[in-house]
This record gives sequence, structure tokens and C-alpha cells, in this order.
Amino acid sequence: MSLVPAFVLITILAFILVYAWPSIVFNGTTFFTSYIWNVGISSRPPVMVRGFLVPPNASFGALLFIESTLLSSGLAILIAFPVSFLVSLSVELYLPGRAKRPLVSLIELFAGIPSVVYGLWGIVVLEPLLLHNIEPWMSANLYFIPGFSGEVLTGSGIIASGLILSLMIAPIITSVMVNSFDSAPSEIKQGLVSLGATKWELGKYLATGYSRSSTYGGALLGLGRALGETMAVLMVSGGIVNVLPTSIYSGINTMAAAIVAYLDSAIGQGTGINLSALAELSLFLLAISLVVNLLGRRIAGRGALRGVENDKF
Amino acid sequence: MEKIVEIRDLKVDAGKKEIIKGLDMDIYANRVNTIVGPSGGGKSTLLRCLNRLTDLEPGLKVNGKVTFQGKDLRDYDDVELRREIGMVFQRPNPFPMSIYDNVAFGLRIQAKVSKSVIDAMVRDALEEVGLYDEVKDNLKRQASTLSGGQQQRLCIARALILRPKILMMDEPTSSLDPVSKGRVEDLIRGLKEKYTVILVTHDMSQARKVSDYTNLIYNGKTVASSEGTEFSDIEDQEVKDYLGELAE
Repeated sequence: MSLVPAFVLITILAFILVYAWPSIVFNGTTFFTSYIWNVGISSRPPVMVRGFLVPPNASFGALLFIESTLLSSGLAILIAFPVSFLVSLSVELYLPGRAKRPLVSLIELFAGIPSVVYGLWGIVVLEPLLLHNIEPWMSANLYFIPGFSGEVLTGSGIIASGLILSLMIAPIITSVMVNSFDSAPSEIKQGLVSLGATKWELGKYLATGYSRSSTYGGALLGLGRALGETMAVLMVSGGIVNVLPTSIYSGINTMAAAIVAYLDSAIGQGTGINLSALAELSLFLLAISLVVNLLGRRIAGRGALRGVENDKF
Repeated sequence: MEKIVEIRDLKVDAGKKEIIKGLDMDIYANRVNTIVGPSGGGKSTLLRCLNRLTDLEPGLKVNGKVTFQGKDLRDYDDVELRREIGMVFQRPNPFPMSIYDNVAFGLRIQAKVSKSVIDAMVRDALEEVGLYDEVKDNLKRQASTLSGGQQQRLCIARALILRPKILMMDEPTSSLDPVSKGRVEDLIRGLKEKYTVILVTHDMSQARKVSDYTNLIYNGKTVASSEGTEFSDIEDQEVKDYLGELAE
């Protein structure tokens, strides 16, 4: 029975690979270098290309989706990581022991909020705020930062997706960090403080020294969640096609969102190549998520007592 | 004898339980001030009050008046205070870093100090605890690879590098073998030339070896104090019984 998870994972991978195979052969490397996703002209008879029947003009480039995913997840980490660090540090330093557990439970509860709720909040509250207030201000005042100059056309896109994702992953990162700070032996913490370390220095040492592996591992686990998150991002990303983002205000279309958005039409398409292209996109997303999650677990799970060379102090 | 710390009517309340119940005590400069008493009697908590480590435990309420060098403890900046009153813990607690980095830690967070100055001060501190010759070729080694006794002396050196006025030691030999214990006791006797030592122990023979002035804490209060280690004026039978057990 212990091999069931491995068996399930391998089966899923195998199925997706079988489905993706026609696309892998048909698109070759252009899948990763082109950002044009063209499903072809289904009203005309299909043509034979590299051994596969495909609609005329069909071509599948995933660059936009990959770039969108990296931009939104990257922004999410950029926001969620420092916030999580400050929250965990204040929990560790300012809360009495008996108040810690309930607060951590509350934080972990956030991770269970259905993503569609975040998405709805994003559309109703966040997007209008971004469109009318925040993004115009940023464009007018922060234009000197690369990527921050540009026209604000909608509230959806990189910023909305990044913000929503950061809300969704911050609880994961915070929970890992709180547990790790909490599990650092009190002899070490008291030893640091009794040598005149301030609370800030104590936190800095825990995050970069003693609990370093949990700090990075937690961030990677959060990133893993952000990369694959679908529904909320689908709702606030803008669903852009065939245009690469030009500024931080641009609409995007992540891999996960694109798979959902195009699945319905792809299933009805006769040659099957559209579905295969989405399967290839899934395969790539799965591969990235697996690597990031495995890495995160490995790093976060490492014994905290391992010696840490630390020359910063 | 010059009093460096005066404690008056100190109370520490942990919510459900009162740990220290109106304690008075004087600490004399350049002496080994020993605090003996049963476990759970408030000895460690008392030390933590003196360098305000109790601030880190939001559940504890501390009341009463404690002065250090004539100034109320609460009027000190906490970080400044902890540099003046160093502490060594019951179990050696080297940080997971090299021997050198352990000793240099307090200096480095205090100020920008040049490497040559740190080198010299690390050496001084290690020599002061008699550890330098044992580790001089391996300063980059992980501190956790040292023996228990060496680790404890490292922790003492780590506190001494800040040149504190007072060094508090909370049962510093309780986890050590007899030989290491003897070395630390010799060290304690030597330290009082430069520092005021506050030693918590429940080992009467250790107190007899090193103590200049001994305070007996029982049930959250000072029940006796005397030069040397002989208490003559105890009336409470419970305390007498306890002392009898200690003497055995």
C-alpha cells in the first residue's frame, strides 16, 4: 500500500505524456520560444504535419503562459515572503506561548479558503481599486522603475494576480516559519538575547542562521502553490492571448488559467492536437511544480540542528 | 563590601503560580555570590529577572525594586543591561557556528569592530577561561564538536568578551563530568578579581569551594544569607530539613 502514491503519480505522468506526445513532436522547441497560441482554422480540412493531422495554421507557443506564471508567482513571493517573515517574527517575540497555537491555527485556516472566494474578492474589490487608484498613481510616480511606466487599461493582470496569490501563499510560508522559529531551542534564543542581541537581531539570526532551511523551504512551498494556482488567477489575470506583457500593468494568462480557459474548445476539436498542446502545457506545469515542491520539502525538512556556517555575525 | 545589586521585595507571578514571593537580596561586587536552594524555588527565575530575560516571557509579571549600580533595573536599556550582566546557562548552549564566531558574536552585533581587534579579544576571552591552548589551531571548527566542559568554558568566554560587570551562572556544572566541573570551579574562583559572580547551584560542596557570600532561597524567598556557607539563624524546620539533605 505504501507504493500507491508513487504508482498514482507515475500513472498520471504517463497519461499526460501520452496525451502530450503529438504536441511535443508537432511543436518541437517552438512551444517554449513562441508566444503565439493559434488553434488553427477548424472549418477547413486538417493537414498532415510531422505525421500528425492538425487544423491549418495551427501553432502552439506557450511563452506567454510561462512568462505570466513566473511573473505573477514571482511578485507573489516578493510580497508574501517579507510579510510572512515579519508576522512570524512578531508571533515568536511578542506573543505568550499559550496564544501562539490558536494564532497559528487561524493562519493555517486561511490556507483553506476556496480560491474562487479570493478570485471573487479580486474582481469585486481589488481590481477597481487597482484600476482607479493604485495603478494610475504608480504609473505617474514610479515610472522611472523599469516595467513601471505604461498605460493602465484594466485592473486585472500581473499586479492583481500577484496580490491575490500572495494572500493565498502567505499563510503557508508563515506557518512553516512560525513552527521553525518556535522549535529553535530556548537555550539558543536566550543565549543570543543574553549576549545583547535585540529582538530584530534574534529574528535575523533565526531566519538566516538557525532556521535558515525552513525559511527557504517555506518560500519554495509557497511558490509551488502559486505556480499551480488556477481559479483565482483565471478570474483576475485578464486572459490575454498572443501579446507579451509590456509593463507591470499588463494583463497576463498563466499556464494553469490557460489550460482551463481553452479546455472546452480543445475537447471538441476533431484532430486532438489542441488537447495535446494543453496536455503538454500541463506536463510542463506539473514538472515545475513537482521540482519546486520537492526542493521546498527537502530544504524545509532538513534537521534544524545541522551546523550552520554563519559569517554575518 | 560594596553592594552592586540590591533586590527588595521582588515578586514574579506566572499567572497561576507565584514563583518569587517578595525576595530581598544583596549582591556584593567582586565576590562569588552563591544562591542555593531546591529546584523550582525560583533561583533561575531570579537570574532571569536581573538581566531582564523575563521581558521575553510576556506571561510573567515582575514587581519590586531592583537596583544595579544604584540605578533601577527598569531604567536601563535592556540590550545595554544584558551586556553589563552576562549569563551562562545550565546546559552549555553554543550556537551552531564556529568556535571563533561563537566568542565573537556579542562583539559583532554590538558595533563595527575591525577584524584584528576581534581576533585579539577572542584570544583574550579564550585565554581567560583556559581554552585557548586547547582550540587555537581549530578556531574555525564547529563549537558543537567540543566536549561538554569545553563548551561550557566557551560559553563563559562568549559572555566575558563583552567585559560585563557581573557574570551570572545558572548551575553551570550540573551537566559536566567531575574533571570538567573542577576546572570550571577553579575558573569561577579566579573570575572574581575582575567580575562579580552570581552562581546558582544546588551543590553545597561546590558552594563551600567557591562561595564568598551565600544566599539560601526557599519557596520564593531568601530565608538565610551569610558569609561563607554556614547558616546559623534558621528556625523553619522545613528549611532545616532541606539543608540537612544537602549536607549529606
